[in-house]
Amino acid sequence: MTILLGALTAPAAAQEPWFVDVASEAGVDFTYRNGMAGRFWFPEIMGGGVALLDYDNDGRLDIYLVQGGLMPGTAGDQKAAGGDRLFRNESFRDEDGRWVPRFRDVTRAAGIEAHGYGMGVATGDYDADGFTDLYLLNLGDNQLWRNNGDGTFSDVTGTAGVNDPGWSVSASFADLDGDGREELVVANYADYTVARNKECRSALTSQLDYCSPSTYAGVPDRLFHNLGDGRFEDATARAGLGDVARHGLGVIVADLDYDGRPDIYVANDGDPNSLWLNEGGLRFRDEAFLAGSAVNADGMTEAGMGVDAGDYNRSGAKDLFVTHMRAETNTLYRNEGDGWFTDVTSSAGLGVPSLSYTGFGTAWTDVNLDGWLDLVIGNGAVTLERDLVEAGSDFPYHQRNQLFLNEGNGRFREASEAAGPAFAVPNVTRGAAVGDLDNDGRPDVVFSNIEGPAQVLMNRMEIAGHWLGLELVDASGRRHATGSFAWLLDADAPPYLRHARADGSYASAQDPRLRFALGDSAAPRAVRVRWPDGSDEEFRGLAADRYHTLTQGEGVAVEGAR
Amino acid sequence: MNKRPGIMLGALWCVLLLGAGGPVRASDATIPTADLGGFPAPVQAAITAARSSLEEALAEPGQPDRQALAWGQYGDVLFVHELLAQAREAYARARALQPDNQSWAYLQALVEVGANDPAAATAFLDEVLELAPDDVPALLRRGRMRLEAGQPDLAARDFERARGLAPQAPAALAGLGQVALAGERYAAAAEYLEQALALDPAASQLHHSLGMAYRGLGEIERARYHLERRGNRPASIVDPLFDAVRSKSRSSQFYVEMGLDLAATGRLEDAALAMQRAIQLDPDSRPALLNAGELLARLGNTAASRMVFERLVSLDPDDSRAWFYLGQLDELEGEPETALERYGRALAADAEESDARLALADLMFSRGDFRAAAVEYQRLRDGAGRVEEQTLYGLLLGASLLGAGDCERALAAAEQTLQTTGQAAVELTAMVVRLRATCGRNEPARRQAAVVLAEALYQQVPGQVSAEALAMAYAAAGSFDEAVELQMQAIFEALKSGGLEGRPDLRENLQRYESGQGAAAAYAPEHPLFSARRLGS
Repeated sequence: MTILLGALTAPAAAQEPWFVDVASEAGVDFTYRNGMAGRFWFPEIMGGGVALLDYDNDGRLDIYLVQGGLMPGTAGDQKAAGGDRLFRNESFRDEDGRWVPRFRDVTRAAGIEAHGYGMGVATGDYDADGFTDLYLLNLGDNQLWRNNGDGTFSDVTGTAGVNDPGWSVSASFADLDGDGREELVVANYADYTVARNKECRSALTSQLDYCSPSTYAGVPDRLFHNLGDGRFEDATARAGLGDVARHGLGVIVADLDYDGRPDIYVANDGDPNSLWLNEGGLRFRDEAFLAGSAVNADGMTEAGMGVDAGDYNRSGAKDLFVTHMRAETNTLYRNEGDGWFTDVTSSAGLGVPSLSYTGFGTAWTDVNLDGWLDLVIGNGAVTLERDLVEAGSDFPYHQRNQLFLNEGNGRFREASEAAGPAFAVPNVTRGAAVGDLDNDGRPDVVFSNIEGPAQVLMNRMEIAGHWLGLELVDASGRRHATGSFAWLLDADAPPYLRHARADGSYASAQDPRLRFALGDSAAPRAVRVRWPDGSDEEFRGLAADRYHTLTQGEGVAVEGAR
Repeated sequence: MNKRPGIMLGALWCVLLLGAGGPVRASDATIPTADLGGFPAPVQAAITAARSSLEEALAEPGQPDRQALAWGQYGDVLFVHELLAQAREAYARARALQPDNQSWAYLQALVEVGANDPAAATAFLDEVLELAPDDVPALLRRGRMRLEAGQPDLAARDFERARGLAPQAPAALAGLGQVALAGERYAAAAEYLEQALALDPAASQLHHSLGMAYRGLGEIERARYHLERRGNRPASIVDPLFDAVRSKSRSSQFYVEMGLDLAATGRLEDAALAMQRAIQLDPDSRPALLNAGELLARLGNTAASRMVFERLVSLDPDDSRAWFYLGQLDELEGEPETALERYGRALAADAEESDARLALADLMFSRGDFRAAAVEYQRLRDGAGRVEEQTLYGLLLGASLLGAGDCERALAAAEQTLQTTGQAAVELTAMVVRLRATCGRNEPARRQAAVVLAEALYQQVPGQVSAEALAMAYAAAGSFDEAVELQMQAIFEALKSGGLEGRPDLRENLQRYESGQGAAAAYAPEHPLFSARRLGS
């Protein structure tokens, strides 16, 4: 069966925006407060993230938004900013079948009291009980909130042994040693405390401004080994991560060299990126330089912020996209299939359009269901935007966000304008998470903005084709099998794979489900799944236009790699 | 693919894009203005002066050339201070008055590069090359723009033409190398890039591309060699017009950056002059003062250097870096007591000033105050982020403890460092061997462990250091024939490298092994670990 995907994408007439911000109407009333008071403390410009997770297993994605507040060590009531918020998805379809967005703030009922100076959030199921847990990354102590399964969470940071008192931004839960339990990788940023804050100024005008990361020393990332009894051990030194102190911001875990073991990739700000190849036994070796993913094609170190991995060219290998600062391009590293990468930013058409923006949150996602992964990018400056200063802005760092459509030939074209006003409104975006909030197969986007309202962007593209959604679950039937991937068996070349993951972007967590575009056929489909342990199973007769939960061990076991 | 084509303007601000696109009439006399509030006084003065000159020129009609020049000069000072929108308009006015002068179009292109608009920059470069097809800087910059825009074939044409006009232009060869690399023609890429690097060895950025080319050719070790040497300096473009415009900067920071660039290419005197200019423009500029002080010291002008650092600490008594440099100057001038005090001031201001701590520890070590040195080396080792640093500090910690007569603690420190770093650093591993071979009495298990480790080291890295260590281990274990053979080899290696002269202990140990005795100590005082102030730095 041939899938004519490109032909079926029927982006609506120009008058209809592709994305509509429903945050206000849905009840997601949230603004990331950075506590700025004219001192330009460095962390003010770096937070915060957003997670999409189904915390109550009702089949609908909920939203978790990280809050900043007052800088640690400063006078004032840190709780005044309100802390992080958990919004339960209580949306419904009305009598006309129209989806009515409704989210309710259930933070208090959930028992979450997160009043640290928040940066990011990661989701996972560290205790494999089938309920998604939360790891919160702060300037200061981090927190692990265990999902109790009854709508509440408990702070288990102390007993779990996963605190990091420094400045952490992003994290990833992933089974790194193949024992079925998720380790925790934490990207740490800089050796900063308010007490040691340094004053930085614009080199040209001497105006106070935020510092560059080089003002403060980088710090090693952390790896916590899951012991399986609710506790973790700090395996940073043993893993080899403790040898390298850089300014880590974004992190993803994926098997990038296809040796069957998940690797760690960290986007570093002003330092070479790290590609920690998994050598087994929780030992890692940084091979980013030889792999071609440490710096850009010119050999220049860039200001790595957000990162995501996805197979944009349907080669079967996961490629990397890293967002960067203004006057640098964002960078697309194409995986040559063996974990060696080539910077193809320019030939992909992604370089020039990013020069004027500072990118943070980003995600690969097929927004128009044409079978090719597109790119969503959240932008916001980190140094003064001169035109905004002259216009009298009290927080002159706003930039618009961007959407790039994959043309299926290795090139992308910017479609931010068609995406609608929600992408045009300037914000200081940091976190970006992608997921299907209304379960219609079309990926939606949530942006978290500094000193601006969070945006819940519903994908309203008119798409003619059908789709197939998958939720991959491990053999226990409970835990998301992140790290596994699936491919459509009846698709023609090029291969059509999708990977299960909840990490990536910047300080954020994604919908772990997979979606395939099916074109004009609504016939039941078959997929093969490669589980994290390397075993393959086939699942057949999967009806289109809905999500299916595929559990390891319930498919038909098959031999041999694709 | 050069994404920052050598326009070193510091922070590239996005400014309001005034008058982009449409033709500019020469008769339109409105002068673009900028809010100069916040700019340093020298910058304000330069812009105001250029504006006054322009107003004077505009007051005398019928002199288009003079007016064009005045517009251009006004554009220059706006451009170098990153007032790009206003510079764009000023150059457009100049060009409207002198449409056949390609310099204005070229400067318009540079403004667009600074404004992150490569398409507009390329369009202006097209115009330059219509007027002056042999303009090499324009060809090179357009080639880079085209490469960045994903047009390698068009870029190759520009680089080829530039090479035809200027065969020794490293940027042309580098561009051709980049084009070849983008097309996965790795052998050609390596050839071009090697040629470019030979012409411009300071173009450290090329090492990365060369590394990628060798990776593509499967030459992994050569790839690693070049990747380790990667830097941020692109191949240079000889560009007198751009240099002339840049020299109009009145920004202190600009001259600091220029000085750093010059220093990176070894032009220390020119670098010092640039820093001096930066200080003239902003007498309190910490980066300018710090760099000037260091450059003057490197040039041997310690008196002037001292004055600069003393000014820094007068501006900020907690400037740890300045205190550190003052300590270095004191050491150079034979004032160790004062140096110790300066390093103490540096560390009091910033306990993480690791250079000051290392200097302090080294100084203590060289004065024989081994216990105090050990405390500092241990702090350095425990706080070090990189394996190389941990290894070096661990080695020095071991040496200090040994110097203090505590062989057991020295062994424990060396073993712990080796275990933490997990890497077979030759000197450190040799230290563990030597200490296992000599610490304590009647320790056969320890002596055997020394042999095992020493054999592995020797097998992995045969040479003087490993041969000496293995000889010592064999002697300690009673295998004197083997010890003699290895010690002879170590002596031979020392002879080859010219290092035998200062090492009488090599022969002394040989004699001991020949007479059936082990080494008297892990290290003799003449060993470089003790005779040199610092090891491995």
